[in-house]
Amino acid sequence: MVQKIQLEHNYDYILSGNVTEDLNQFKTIFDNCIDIKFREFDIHGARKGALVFLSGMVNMQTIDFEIMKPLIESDERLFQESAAELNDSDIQNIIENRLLFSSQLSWFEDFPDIIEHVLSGNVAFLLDGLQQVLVINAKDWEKRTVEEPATEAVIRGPREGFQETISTNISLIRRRLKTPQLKMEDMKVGRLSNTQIVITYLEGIVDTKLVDEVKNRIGKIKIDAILESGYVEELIEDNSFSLFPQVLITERPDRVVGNLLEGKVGIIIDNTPFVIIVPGTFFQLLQSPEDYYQRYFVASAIRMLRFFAVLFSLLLPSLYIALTTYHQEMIPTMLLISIAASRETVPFPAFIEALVMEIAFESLREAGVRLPRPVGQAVSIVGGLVIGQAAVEAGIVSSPLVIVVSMTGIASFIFPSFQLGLAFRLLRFPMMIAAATFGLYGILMMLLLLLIHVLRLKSFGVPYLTPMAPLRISGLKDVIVRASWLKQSTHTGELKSQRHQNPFNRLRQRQNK
Amino acid sequence: MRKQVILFLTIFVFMYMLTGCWSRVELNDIAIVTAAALDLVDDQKIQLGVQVMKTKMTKGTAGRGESSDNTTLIFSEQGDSVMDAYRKIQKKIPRNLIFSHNRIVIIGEKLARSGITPVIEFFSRYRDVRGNSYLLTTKGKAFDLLNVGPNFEKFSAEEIREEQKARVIDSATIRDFTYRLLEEGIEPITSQLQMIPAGEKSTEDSNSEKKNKNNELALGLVGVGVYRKDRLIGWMNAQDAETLLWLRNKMKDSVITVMIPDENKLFGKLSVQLMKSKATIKSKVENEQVQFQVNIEMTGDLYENTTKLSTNSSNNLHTVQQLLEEEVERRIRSTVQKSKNKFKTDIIGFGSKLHRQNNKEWNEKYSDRWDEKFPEIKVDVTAHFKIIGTGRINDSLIWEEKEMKK
Repeated sequence: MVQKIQLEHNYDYILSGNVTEDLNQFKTIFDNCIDIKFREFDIHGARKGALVFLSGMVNMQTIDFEIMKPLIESDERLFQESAAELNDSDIQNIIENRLLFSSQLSWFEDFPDIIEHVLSGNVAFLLDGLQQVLVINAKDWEKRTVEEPATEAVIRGPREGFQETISTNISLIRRRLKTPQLKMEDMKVGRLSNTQIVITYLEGIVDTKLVDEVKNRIGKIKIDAILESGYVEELIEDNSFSLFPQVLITERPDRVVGNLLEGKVGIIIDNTPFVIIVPGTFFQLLQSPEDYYQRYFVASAIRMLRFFAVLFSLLLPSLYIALTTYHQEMIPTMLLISIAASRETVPFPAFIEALVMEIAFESLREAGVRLPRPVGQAVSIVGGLVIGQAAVEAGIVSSPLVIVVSMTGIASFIFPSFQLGLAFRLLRFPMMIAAATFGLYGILMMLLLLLIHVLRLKSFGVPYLTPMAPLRISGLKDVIVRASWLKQSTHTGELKSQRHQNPFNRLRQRQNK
Repeated sequence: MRKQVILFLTIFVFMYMLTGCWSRVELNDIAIVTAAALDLVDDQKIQLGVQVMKTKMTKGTAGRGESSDNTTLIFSEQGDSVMDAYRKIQKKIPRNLIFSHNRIVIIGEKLARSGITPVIEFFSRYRDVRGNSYLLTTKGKAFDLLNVGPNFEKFSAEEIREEQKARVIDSATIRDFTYRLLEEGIEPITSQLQMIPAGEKSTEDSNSEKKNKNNELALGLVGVGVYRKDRLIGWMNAQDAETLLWLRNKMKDSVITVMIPDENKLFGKLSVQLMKSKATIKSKVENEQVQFQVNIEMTGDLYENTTKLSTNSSNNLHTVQQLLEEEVERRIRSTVQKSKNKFKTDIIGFGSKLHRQNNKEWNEKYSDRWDEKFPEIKVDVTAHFKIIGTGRINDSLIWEEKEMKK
């Protein structure tokens, strides 16, 4: 929830033109901020000037040699003669054109604007007699290098991933789409954090209504700070009462570009390597960017494998429970005998057995994520040995169940989208309860409930199961299989794509509650 | 939101009410019945014997499993009905008997001769039981057969099922049996299961008590039991049982051996494996006389030849084919003869062919009295045999080149 914090300072201050006075105003606002530096200086004894900037976010070299040096070493006459003859715009002209070597300069009058610029790493230059402040870009701070994304590794494909600096992220996208049609729109969200959010899309391919809707929803966000894309995702998604992720999160610039080409909208958020892509659909979450880089037969086979993985990770433990406790007649006799033999010493009902193992597995997995890497290995050894072998030998669980749990585990790692994997991980448990109470009937009921829920979901007006439900035959080429590029229509005929190809033209306005 | 929760809870509660009784049984609480044996004992009581899988955990890995002698347990009880006996067994053992994995139902001769409808009734009605368990009849007491241990599989019933599936002789599942019982113009059969010495497991009909050195016994299918309605009336040997498969187009794998007589100096035997067999039976009614034309077309590979006939020559093959045709015709005639005259029961299903092909006559004249009319039918048999392969070698290895008849 948005906290109501009263901003203490009034930003209504109007610049006086007197450096000492104006600087004092800055000093009151930035009271107790040790990272703000003020530098006052005289230019040939004629005029006072001052620089205000954040140390650590600016390049000192730039300030020293490209701002300070030209100003102090400038021709004396420029300033001495000035007092009477030169008007404001002349001085501005001189500074801009004859003194400073910076390519990004702009004059601001509004005090709040100046504060914001200073806080985002620009240098503010105050000069006696001017009621405007020159904002010079000298941003430079410590940043991570561009690395391969940890969550979306590929065998074949670019190894670049986004990082925390938005300008780098934007450049990563722009490098892949050298066209003026690629649009980037700037927004600021978060009353305290003032996080920069960039909405990007391909003009001509995207549905303009979608862009408006995205802007509208982001504009409505009222929150103090955005620390990660998860905040934005939760605040703009259609149905937050759902386990299923309704937007696509990615760390890969090539994936963002691929989606932009399909007419989607990317939301880049400062300070996080995760970019949101809307609208998100279920089948898209089951696709990996690598599908498009590998040969299409292989990619299609792997996609089908993923569908099995979905079923496995959702249903395997519950099928085990249902079959062993209700439908023994459905298990082949020889298999039944060996399952029965290994269950002979197990004192718990199949459901408890499966539940214990699943919880143990999930704990191990979570521990593996949180623990520091060297300790994580120890956990996996203990987990593998204790859970796998010792539990069976001690007669606490049966060995077929260990196979079931590990198969489920492996299946849930196949999900290309971690978010979707989480949803299925969680759904497994109600499924198991249903199987334990009603057998296959329960599983079917749960599946129906799930299906109803998923069918009701929409992401930015697009049905979640597009193009399966509602069915779009042409869209199926890229769902279960990945058809050859020769067989898939591309977006080169832009407007045509808007008419025929764009699956998102059923956009509806979100109902505001 | 609240509405949805209420709706969900309502559905959830009603889900519980829609189910019947809670049929949850843990695997530790079931006893898997693999075979059932039924006998008629004194006082018209039925004796039910069940072979139950022993699912005791063999310590450690599969490699160190116990010896296969005692993988099954056998229980037996007598009762007024099958259900009665079953309940009595259930009282003796701490686990629920489940019949859903039952492989075979063996019926003793005495019970079979008195009619097995009461038995079939239970096995058709009880919800656990599957229709695809094989029904078998045995000379003597069925219960004794349960004690015979398996040779290859985990339990003996599985071996029998595998044998039945190989379709070496005609077989019937409970479903088949019931179907043939209810269908007009066809009478049921079952396979005949006997205890035979393991050393010389033979498909010949024999009652020999001869046992091999190890005194080991095995179960073997030796023929078929012939039924009229639900009563056993006799036995047919394995060869006839094979012929029945040909006539029902169920043949999978069969071998015919013919002899070349001594007189023309080509003396020897030829064995042919059948690949395909297709029998068509056509009915005709002429002057109150029902006639059937049986056409059978077979193809096969020659796999053994001890004669002087060279298999290179098509003339020779033609001769062999003729011999084979004669043999097939002879066997079919003999089987039909037995069915018609010895047992007077229509196990081949001529009646049902007539029913389909001459519906009007059937309904008017034969529907009610097929039992009486059946022995009077006339059956013509024609066989066409085609040898499509002669194996890896051409001429027989045991004869000199010049001796061969080209």
